[in-house]
Amino acid sequence: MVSFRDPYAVLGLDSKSDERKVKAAYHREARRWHPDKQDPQADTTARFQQVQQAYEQILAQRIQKSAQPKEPSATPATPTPPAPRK
Amino acid sequence: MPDGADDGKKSYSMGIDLGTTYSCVGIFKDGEVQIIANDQGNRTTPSYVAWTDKERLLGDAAKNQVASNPTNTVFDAKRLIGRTFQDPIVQADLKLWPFRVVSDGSPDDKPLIEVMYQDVAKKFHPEEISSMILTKMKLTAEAFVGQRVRNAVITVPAYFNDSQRQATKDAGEIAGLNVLRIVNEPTAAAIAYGLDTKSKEKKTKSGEKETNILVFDMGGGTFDVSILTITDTVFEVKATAGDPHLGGEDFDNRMLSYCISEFRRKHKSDPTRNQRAIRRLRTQCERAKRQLSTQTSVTIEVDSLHEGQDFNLRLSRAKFEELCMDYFKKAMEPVSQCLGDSGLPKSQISDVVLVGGSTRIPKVQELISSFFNGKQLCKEINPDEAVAYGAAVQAAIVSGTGTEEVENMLLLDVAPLSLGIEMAGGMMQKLIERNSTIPTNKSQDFTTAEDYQDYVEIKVYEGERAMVKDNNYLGKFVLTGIPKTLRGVPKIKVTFNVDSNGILEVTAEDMKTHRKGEIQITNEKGRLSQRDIERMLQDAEAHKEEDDLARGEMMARESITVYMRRTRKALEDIDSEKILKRDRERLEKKMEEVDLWLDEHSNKATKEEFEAKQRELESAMNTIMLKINRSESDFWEQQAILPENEKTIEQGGYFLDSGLDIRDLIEDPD
Repeated sequence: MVSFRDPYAVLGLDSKSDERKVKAAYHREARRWHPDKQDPQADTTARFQQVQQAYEQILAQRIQKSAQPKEPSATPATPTPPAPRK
Repeated sequence: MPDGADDGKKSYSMGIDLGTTYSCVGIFKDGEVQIIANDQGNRTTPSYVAWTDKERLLGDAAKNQVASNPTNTVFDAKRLIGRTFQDPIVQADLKLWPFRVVSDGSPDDKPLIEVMYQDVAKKFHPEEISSMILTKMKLTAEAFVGQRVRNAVITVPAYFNDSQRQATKDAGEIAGLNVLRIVNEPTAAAIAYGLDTKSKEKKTKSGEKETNILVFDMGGGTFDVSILTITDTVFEVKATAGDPHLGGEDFDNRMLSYCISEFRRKHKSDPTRNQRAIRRLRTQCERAKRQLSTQTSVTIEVDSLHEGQDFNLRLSRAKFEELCMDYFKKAMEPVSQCLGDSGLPKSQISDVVLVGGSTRIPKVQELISSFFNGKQLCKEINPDEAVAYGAAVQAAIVSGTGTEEVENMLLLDVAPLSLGIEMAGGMMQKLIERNSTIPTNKSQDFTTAEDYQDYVEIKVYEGERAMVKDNNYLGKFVLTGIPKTLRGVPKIKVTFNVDSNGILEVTAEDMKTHRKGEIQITNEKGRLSQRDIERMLQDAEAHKEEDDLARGEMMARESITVYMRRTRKALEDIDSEKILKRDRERLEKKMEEVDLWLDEHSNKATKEEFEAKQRELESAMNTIMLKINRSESDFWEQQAILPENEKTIEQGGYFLDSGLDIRDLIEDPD
């Protein structure tokens, strides 16, 4: 299951990648797997959702880390994915 | 290439903005989007369908006759679609509609629109009315590209819920369309904005530049706000909010009520029950509202409105604003909510894009601008066409028929409402949060609460409130066929899937047996069944034959009328010396006879009868033409100097609707 995979690996990144790199990788992978870009027969929805989930996970982790009062408006733009279930 | 070219012939995909009051169609052709004018030359088409004694009318033809046929002229299907008859919004709208709406009497409580057609009461689902408008838009597109167009992207308000989206998709299917995508209107408008800005910047700064925009889309019946981040070719919706029942029509209604009360006060009589009067007054209110966007006061005038009394009222812009102020203020709430959800401060919004006819209202602009601390608003894109424009681009993206630039674009849209299930105590357990990027899916495991229980019932809701009773009930999913065992042992994984259209699908799997087929999901959402859709599709096809028949008659009638006019003109122009008196008299007599016949039969004659009459006339004319002592080219040269409107039949040619060349009709083919 994707939930247990390293979200950085899904996007082809390492955990030191900066925000700009993360976003660029997300756009690249999303463009590649989004169902709009694919033949409806070759259903890539699941793959797109892995990319999406990985991106949201990275965002959520980074927001948690930087949840210092320094950045007051740091509400996640995308909802936090649920914790992986056992 | 998905759904792509067949037989090597390029197939087109269109984008349709199916609006509450007006619809618009665009197509990506030769590297750019074309917004297509209908047969009346209009780039937007009224979302109206009407039934007269003889035929069904669509678009402008339907709207133009509304005052004389108010009970059989249907509009506002978008305000009914995906709702139940008992929905308080439907009940309130009912009082304002001149056409009849009834419940289908089933437990689903679907609304049906009832009209009289050829002395028989006919009932239609809102989906069917919308399908007729979609058909009209399809015909418009087909006339433009000169071939069949089946693939379509149809837009809906971003804040449309699951049932409304599904019903709109069904309408597309009933119209015989292959619905590629249901796309959110503000998102489509953002594409139009993005391409427009990009072409202006001429790629001075390449890529990576991130822009946040807010789209404020207020049309005839619905209102949406969306915030997007545009990074080069990626359009990412951050948040969306809105009101699926707020728009220009509500302002018209306010003006209408005010006018009625003024009429009552002045004349001590009440026109409320006079459908024709109300319709005439409503048309004038709508016109006045538009004028008040550029003028500071207008006069609303209707001659002999009711019981012989004229209506005359001077209305200032200030008064109009006062009448609608609560609506205008209400529209600011979704703006705050959307901003809050996006996590962006006001200052990070670089452009506020106005879309939809109602954004022309100065007060609306003023309120948005002051909300953003006096910000200059973006009025660069056409508010009536931007949505269809973006839909056409999205159609090209999905079908792979666009240019490289277009096919490089990526749209990441969101689900507007949270989706969840009822938990113990009537609490809402959210599975999918609002503003989740779609397509998305979330799963949850269920088990049984009692020993040997073999089914589980799951109630699905959408909305943001904590208790399910405050949210919108979507339906019940009953999982049956669970192996009988002790409570807590079975494990059933229920998955919520929101597809790219924003439509929810629920699947379930028994995790013990891993057999999906073992579990049946009973879908009780109040939507049309596949069988309903197929039946309506057949009805629509049958209707098409009726329409074709009526259209054949209309064309034949038009053809003979045009021929009469031209013959008369020719008789005047031809030198009298060149015609034998006898021939002239014979032709004039024939024309008189046809005139009388037309007066009497023009409403009931068949296509064949019209054609036969025209042939009689033609033979009389041909006798003269053959004898005329001048070359035919001279004759036609003379015709050519006639004023443009006389010379042309429709769009500047000699061709009739039926495809016949008018010159062939007058000249002897030998």
